[in-house]
Amino acid sequence: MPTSQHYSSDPHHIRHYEFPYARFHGKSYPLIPIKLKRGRYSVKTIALLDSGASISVFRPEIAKALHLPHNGSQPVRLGTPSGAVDIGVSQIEVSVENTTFKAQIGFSREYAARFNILGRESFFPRFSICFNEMMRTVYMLPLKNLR
Amino acid sequence: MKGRDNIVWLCENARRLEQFAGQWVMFNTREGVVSRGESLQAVMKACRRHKMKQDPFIFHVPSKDELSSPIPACKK
Repeated sequence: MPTSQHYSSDPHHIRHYEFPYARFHGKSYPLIPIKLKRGRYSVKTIALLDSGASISVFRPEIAKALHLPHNGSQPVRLGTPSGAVDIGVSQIEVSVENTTFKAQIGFSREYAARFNILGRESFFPRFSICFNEMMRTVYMLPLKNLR
Repeated sequence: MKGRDNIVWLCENARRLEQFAGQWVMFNTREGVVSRGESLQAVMKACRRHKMKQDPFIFHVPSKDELSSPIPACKK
């Protein structure tokens, strides 16, 4: 796998993205850059790739920045170690580098996750994802590039 | 400008950003942190006044307390 970002003149070269883990308060996290877009509103932010989460949950302030209506989302009950919380799930256009697709993103007014979380549903199926803990790097291969 | 450059910038500056734990920061790789504060709306407003040379990223800097326990998995 190449060491830098994936753009080769070789047409058979498989383009992937790689992001180094970011270290906060002594621990490393697989954080990736992501752009969320809803109509004319868009936000570029950072999110944690979390294979243990079934759905994606972003901080409530991001919903506000995207001007998401409070009642325009699908209600879902979410289980967290501190109890169940209700979130609203909306379909949002997301982009990771050159890969853009629609994904289900949950927002909650009561539950502010420490990081924006990208969970498996509707996000992970778009990529082949490799967490290299030794290199502290995450590799993401957009699956459309394999077709 | 690729998003990866912003992650690399975040990695290189994470230690410095820890002093802003609990706050929102708006940054780009050319100018660094251009705005920060506890309210994302205020941070974005301040940013609009500042003509930026590059589209900024917003990031909520986690506090040490928030990261002291495992990240809760979100299960339906």
